[in-house]
Amino acid sequence: MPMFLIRLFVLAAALAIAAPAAQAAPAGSPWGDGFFPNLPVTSQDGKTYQFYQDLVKDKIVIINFMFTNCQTVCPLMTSRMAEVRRRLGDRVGKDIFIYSITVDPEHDTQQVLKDYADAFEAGPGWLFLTGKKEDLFAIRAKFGERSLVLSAHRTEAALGNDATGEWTKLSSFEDYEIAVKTVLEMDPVWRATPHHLVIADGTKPHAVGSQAGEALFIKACSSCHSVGGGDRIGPDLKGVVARRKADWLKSLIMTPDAMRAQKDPQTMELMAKFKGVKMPNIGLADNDVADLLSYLEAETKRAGQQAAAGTATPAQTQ
Amino acid sequence: MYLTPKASRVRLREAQNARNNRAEIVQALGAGQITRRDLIRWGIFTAAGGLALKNGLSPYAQSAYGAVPTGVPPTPMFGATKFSQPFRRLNVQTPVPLTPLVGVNGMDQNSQAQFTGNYAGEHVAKCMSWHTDFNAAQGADYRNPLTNRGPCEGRPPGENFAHQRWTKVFPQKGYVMSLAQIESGTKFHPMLASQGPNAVWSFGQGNVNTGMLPAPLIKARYGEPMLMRIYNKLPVDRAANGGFGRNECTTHFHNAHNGAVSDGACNAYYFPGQFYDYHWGTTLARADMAQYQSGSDFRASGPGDHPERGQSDLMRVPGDFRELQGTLWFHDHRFFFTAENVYKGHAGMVNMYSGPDRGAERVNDGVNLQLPSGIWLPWGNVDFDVNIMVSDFATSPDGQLFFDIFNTDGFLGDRLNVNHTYAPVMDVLPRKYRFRILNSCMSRFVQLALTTSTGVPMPFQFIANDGNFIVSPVMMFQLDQQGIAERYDIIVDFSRLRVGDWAQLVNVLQQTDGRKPDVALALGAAIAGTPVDTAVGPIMKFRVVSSVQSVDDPTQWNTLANCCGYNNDKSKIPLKLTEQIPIVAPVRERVVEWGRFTNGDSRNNPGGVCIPDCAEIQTAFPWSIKVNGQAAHSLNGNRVSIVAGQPGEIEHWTYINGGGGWDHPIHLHFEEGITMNRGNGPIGPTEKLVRKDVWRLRPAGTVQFQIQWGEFGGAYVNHCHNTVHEDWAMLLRYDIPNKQYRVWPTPIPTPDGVTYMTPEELPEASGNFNKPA
Repeated sequence: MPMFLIRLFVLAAALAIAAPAAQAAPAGSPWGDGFFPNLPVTSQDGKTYQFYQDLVKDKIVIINFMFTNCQTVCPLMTSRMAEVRRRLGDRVGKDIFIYSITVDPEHDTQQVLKDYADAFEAGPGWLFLTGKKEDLFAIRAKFGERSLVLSAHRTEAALGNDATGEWTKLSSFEDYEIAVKTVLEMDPVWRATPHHLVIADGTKPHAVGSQAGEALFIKACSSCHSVGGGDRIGPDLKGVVARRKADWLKSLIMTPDAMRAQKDPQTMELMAKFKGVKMPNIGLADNDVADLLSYLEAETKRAGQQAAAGTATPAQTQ
Repeated sequence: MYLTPKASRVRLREAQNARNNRAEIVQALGAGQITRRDLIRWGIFTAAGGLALKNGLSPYAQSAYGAVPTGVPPTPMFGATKFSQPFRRLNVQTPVPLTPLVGVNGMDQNSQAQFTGNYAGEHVAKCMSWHTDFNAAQGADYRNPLTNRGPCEGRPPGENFAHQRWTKVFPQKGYVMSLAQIESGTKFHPMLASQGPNAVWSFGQGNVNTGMLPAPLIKARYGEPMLMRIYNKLPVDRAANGGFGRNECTTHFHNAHNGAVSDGACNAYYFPGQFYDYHWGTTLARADMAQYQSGSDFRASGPGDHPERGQSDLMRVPGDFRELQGTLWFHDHRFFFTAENVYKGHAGMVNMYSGPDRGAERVNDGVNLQLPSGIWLPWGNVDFDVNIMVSDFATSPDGQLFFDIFNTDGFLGDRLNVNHTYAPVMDVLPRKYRFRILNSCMSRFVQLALTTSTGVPMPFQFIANDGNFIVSPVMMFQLDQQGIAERYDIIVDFSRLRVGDWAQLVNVLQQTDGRKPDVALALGAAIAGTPVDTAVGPIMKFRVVSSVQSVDDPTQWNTLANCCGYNNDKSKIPLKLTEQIPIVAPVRERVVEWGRFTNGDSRNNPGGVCIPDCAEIQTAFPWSIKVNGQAAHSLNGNRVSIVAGQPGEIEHWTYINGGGGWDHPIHLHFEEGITMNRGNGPIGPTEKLVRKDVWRLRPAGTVQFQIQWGEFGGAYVNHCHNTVHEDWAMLLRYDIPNKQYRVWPTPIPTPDGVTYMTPEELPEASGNFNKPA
């Protein structure tokens, strides 16, 4: 090991040992106790917490805002958060916590949130929070989330470490690797340790002309769907183009909200199977859908060929 | 928000009392003077022990939302009164010459630039980052000397982040600056508090550990390429930020014609201990086009050091003189932290001097416009050419700079500084002056008028918008609204006044909501001021005197005798400043719709079905984009939304503000656009057919402009310059392709070095793209 790495390792270890006993936001920080309200909130499991004292104090927290009836961006945010949560591993629930606070507490009761959390495989350390409307408003107002119209709520999360008094933003649409890195960087000990993230080899020219629809699938769909990798938050899409009628697929992709409102039978079946999940309307145009369908067809073929060749692997979606 | 725009004085007092009461109770509790039981009995504690959101206790409680307009109690002024301190100039920076180190093969990519003078000990400047050498040495050398972690230069490694046009515009002058904690004793007014080391982070000259205010001023000239080395000397502990700001920085040279590597806005931020070399090459746009090669027009030039030699003194450069730039600025562009960092002090100005805009008013060679500037230096005089940086601020009760990092609508300071000086007085001679006015606020728009001391409007000439000359000066008494980052150049003739008279610059624009200004007050009302917004009113005064010490040559005095009156004020306000670039048929058209609520076609409700929350169908996607009439896309993400055209191609862009009640100053990096129209809305002479780089869209407004690409490539951005909105993701990326890359890899900086990741590309980005030969 090169000398500098050893030195850094020792430094990191020293920091870990010397890490001060847990204490609330450092003196002089404007963003600790007194800034964040200590109001009661209830999780999907029915437990009640004092917001600052029990949930924020001394912790690294990711806080976003959502409502389960959301037809557009929230399910996508939530599914992407699920992937971030998966990648963060067992630190979630230990020193990193995720809170999804509803902006619609009248509808989003504990049971509604429980179904939603289960659908997105929230797991320990990720709480969906509801409570009294005025209490939740007092909390979210502090995070700059002061929208009075449900759908106008913030799409990005607040990311903070109360112990250091640092707060920043975490984009819901950030690439997963970067999102995970951004979260881990809230930990001063992690920061003090060298991490060589090899994300992509930038020294080679970017391969142009990747399959139309691929980027869109990666960004918009892959957090819920695989192609040949089995059901996830939503169904496996292998063979979906052959299985379903093109018009129906197009309608579902472009306007899943309308399909639900019309009580389209096939949509209702899917809703029953994937309980609590509402496929979002993410604002795709005709061209996008055409691209996505052709991508799904190509991926299905590729998955089939791999299976035939005996090298079956789930489609690499991310 | 329920924030009352016109909180009463009672409310304000409540808010301040709330703050005080809370502090007292918390303190008393800590000292054991009040028991927790007492508090619960009084009903001001919640059962669990938190302070209740109750009137009189929480400054943020609804009934005590005293909030004008910062969301917290007004900035305490500690007895500081307006117009009780002198005006301060920006800190002019002194460059050192760079010695070229040419290799055996002559001037090529391997040639290096050696700093001289005080900076002789600096690493040489190179085409490729020192990070490349660090990588080659496998981290054994070229390390960050402060943390011993990662490379000494934060610029990403390899060819991607090599300086473009390195040999064509090889740097001749070098600057070394540092971003650092403010030096002790720095105040906005003698009566206001000294700012603590982590309240303000600003620029210092050299590789130093403290920064200074007012902000720096760089005097640049065409034909003299610069190398700007900026050290990050901020605290290594990123939590030590005084409540806001990030110790990772990247400096954007706002609309200078540079490669993306030196644009400072492509995610290449860097860490304490590192430096970053920005290649500010002073390339004039259209430099590569055959018709604009050197020699085609004397106006495409920079000033030399010997104006007495006439036109032969001009350093002629390739490019179109109609693309000359003048008043520019630079500021932080760390994504997600731009507002916090700029507000904290990471900003400065650049005056770009050219043949026509020489900064030497007596040089009469047929090219120089002889605009008011000064008489002692061969170029770049600022005695009568004054940079005015208008910025808002708010402080905590202890007087330290305060910023609400959770505010998403736009953070407003409740006081205005001019060059980081509260309400200063400037001594002027009775003659012509040029002012280069920059709005460097975060979310506040301003609108300035000039009056005499008795409130009589004074005329002035408008000559440049965003640093670009308009064709003919326009006489005005009051400027248009000025959005964040917009620059207006005006010429004021104080010879209408007599020695002993006063004049003042008045902000007439009331703004109590970060989303947009409320209203422009009538001049008299604005001068009187309003408790609703204390940033309204006179912000600077001018006192007419008979002599002023020169700042260009402090051994000299400018007097009534040597530079005033018909015979000695030789400066001019020419009838024609430049020539118009014509509007032509474009290669392609693009439409970008900005706003809190978009309504691209995907927002329609095709089935006509009312879904349970039909009213909620509008969503929070920050923008949608249409190219050449294609359907709109609105899916957000950190992706390449637009691949720009090829060099020389002309496009027409339309920006639409879909955000209803919001206004957004939208900034397009790298290229200026010629403002064509504002849809069906009115468009004034200071904008019509004028080149700009920031457009206020106006609520529900539209603006169309013509743009042409050239000379450089890389990843640039296009965003809302309400930096609070920008940080909340009103930003889209566009890439200009070059021979190597069509879409540039995104650098991912870490303290241990930079890696790259390949950006995702949107379908519409590739619509009309032909791979360069």
